[in-house]
Amino acid sequence: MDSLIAANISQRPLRTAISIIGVALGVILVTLFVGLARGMMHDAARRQSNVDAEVRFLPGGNISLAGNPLMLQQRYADAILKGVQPTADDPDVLPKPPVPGVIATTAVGEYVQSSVAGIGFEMVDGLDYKSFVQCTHLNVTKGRPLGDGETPGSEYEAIVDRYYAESGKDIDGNPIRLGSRITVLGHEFTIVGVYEPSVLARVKIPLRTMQQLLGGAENCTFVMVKCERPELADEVIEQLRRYYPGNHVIATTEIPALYSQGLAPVEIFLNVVIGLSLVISVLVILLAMYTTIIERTREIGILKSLGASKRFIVVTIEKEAALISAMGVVLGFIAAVAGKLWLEANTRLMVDLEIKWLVIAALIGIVGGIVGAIYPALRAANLDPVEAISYD
Amino acid sequence: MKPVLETIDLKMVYHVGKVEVPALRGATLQVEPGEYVAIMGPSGCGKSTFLHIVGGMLKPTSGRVIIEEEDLTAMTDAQRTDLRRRKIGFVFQRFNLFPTLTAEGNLKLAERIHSGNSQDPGRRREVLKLLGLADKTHHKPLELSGGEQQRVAIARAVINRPAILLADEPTGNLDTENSDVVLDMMAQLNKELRQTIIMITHNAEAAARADRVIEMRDGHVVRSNVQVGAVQGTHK
Repeated sequence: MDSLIAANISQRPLRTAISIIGVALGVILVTLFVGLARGMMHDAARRQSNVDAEVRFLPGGNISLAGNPLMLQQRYADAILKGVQPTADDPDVLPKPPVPGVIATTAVGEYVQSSVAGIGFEMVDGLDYKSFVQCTHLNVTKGRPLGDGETPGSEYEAIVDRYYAESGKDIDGNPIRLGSRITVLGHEFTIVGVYEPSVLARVKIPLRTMQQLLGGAENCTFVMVKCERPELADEVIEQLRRYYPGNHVIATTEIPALYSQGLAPVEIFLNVVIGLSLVISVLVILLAMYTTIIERTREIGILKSLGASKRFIVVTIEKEAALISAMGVVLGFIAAVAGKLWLEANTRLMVDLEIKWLVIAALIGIVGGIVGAIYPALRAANLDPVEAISYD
Repeated sequence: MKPVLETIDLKMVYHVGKVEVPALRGATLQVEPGEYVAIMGPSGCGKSTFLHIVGGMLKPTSGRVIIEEEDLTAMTDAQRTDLRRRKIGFVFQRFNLFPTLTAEGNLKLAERIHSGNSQDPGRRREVLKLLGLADKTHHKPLELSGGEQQRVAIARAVINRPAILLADEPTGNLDTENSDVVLDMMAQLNKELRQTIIMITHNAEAAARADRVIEMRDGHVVRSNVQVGAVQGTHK
C-alpha cells in the first residue's frame, strides 16, 4: 500500500506539487505572520526595557507604547528632578519639591515612520543626548555623540545602533557608515555616531529637531526617570502619582508585560490568519484528492475487486493526503526560514519562529490535509465496484 | 464432495429509470472444487452479471450464492467484501493492473489487502515462476506485452490462494499467440494447483480448454455440460 501511495504521488508530479505548495502556503502564512507580529513586539519590548531608568512617566489617557506623538510637556523632566517654583512667566503654578530618590530624568520623543527599506515601519527617538545617557547605559562606539539640535549644524544629525549600522542602507542604497545620509521624518539626516547597546528606537535624532518637524514644541512622548537605587523605584512611582496626578507612571520592568497585553488585538488577527490557513489547506487537499479520485476511479474499482475494504481505501487516501501535507509543511518551514532570513537581512523587521507556533502550523497543515481528504476518501470507498472497474 | 460454488435460482433485475431490465432470471449452477468451467452465451445473456454476483461485487435481487458453505446473499456489503478478499480472485479482459506499480508491486498490493503485513515471498516466487514471469518482476505494466500483463493479472488473482478464480473474457484483448499462452497458464494453474476456475468467454477455443462448458441464455443456465460447438452465438 505504501508503494501504491508513493507511486501515486510520484506519478502525478504537477498535482502533487500544487498540493504541496498549497499546504506550504498555509504554513508560511501562520509561521511568518505570527513570527513577524511576535518578533516585532518582543524586539521592541526588549529595547524599550533595556534602560537604566527604572520609571517611565507618560501622559494621561490610554497607554500606548507604539510611538505616541509628542503629547507630554517636556518640562516634566525638569520638574520631577528639580521641583517646580512659580516664575515671572508662570506666577500661578503650584510649587512642588523635587521627587525624592530621583537622580536623573530625560524627555524622549518617539515617532513611528515607514521603514526606509520600504517594508514595515521603524521607530525614531528624539532625545537630549546629555540627559539621555544619564538614564541609559548608551555608549557611542563609533563617531561622536548626538548634537543638541540647537547648535548650528547639529539639527539634522542622527546616531544609530550597531544592528542598524550593519544592516541598513543610506539614501543612495549604500551600506551605512559615518557620514551616510538617511531619511528621517521626510528629511535627510547625517549619521554621526554608532551606539551600543540597542535602547528604544534604533535611530535617534535631537529632540529639538523632532519637535520642530512634528510641530510639538516643548513636548515629548515620555520622560524616563532614573532613581538613586533601583529599590527606590516603587517609592518614586508613588510620589510621582501623588505629585502629578492624571499622568501614567509605570515601572520599566512592566513594559514587556504591557507589550504582551498589546498583542491581544494582534491575536485576533493571527487567529484569522490561522483560520484562513486551515481553510486553504483543507480546500487544496480536498480539490487535489477529489480530482485524483475521479482520475483513479478505475483503480479504486480494482482495489475493490481485490477485496479492499472501505476502511482500507479511506486509510490509503488519507495516508496519501497526510504525506502530501507533511511535504507541504516541510516546504512551508523551509520557505518560512528563508523568509525570516531575507526579511531580517533586507529590512529591520524581526521574525520569531517559536517552536509552539511551528507545531501549530504543522498541525494546521496536516490536520487540514486529512480533513480535506475525508470527503474524497469516503466517496471513493462508497463507489460501486462494478461501475468503478468499468470506468473509462 | 461439497461444491465450491452453488447458485440457486439467482435473479437480478436492473432498474433503468422506471424500466425494469432482468439480467438473470433464475440461474442455478454447481461447481466442484478444482473444476475448470467455461460459461458461454450470447452478449446480454447475463454472464458478466452472474460473475459479478458470484464475486460479491453485486447483490442479486433474489436467490442464493453459496461459496464453500458461506451464503454470500445473506451477507452485508462489508461481509461480501471480506469474502471476496478471502475466497475470490478476479481476472479481467482489460488486465486492470495498477500502472504505477511493477509486476511484483501489483502482487504485493493484493497480498497486503489479503494478509496485511504478513506476506509470503515464497508463494510469490512460485506463482511468478509458474506463470513465466520470474524475469519480469520489476517491470511496470506498460513495459510488458498484453499477454504478460494478463499473466501478471492472473498471478495477482491467485497469489492469495482463492477458492475460485473468476475470469471475465481473459483473452478478449489478446492476439492468438498470447491467448494460447494465457490459456495454457490457466490450465496449468488448474492442473498443478487444483485451482477452481470459472471463465466467461465468447471464444470457443478458450472454452475448449475447460473441463465443462455452461451455456447461458436470457438470464438462465440452459445447459451445464455442453459440447463447445453446440453453443450458439460463439465464434471459433
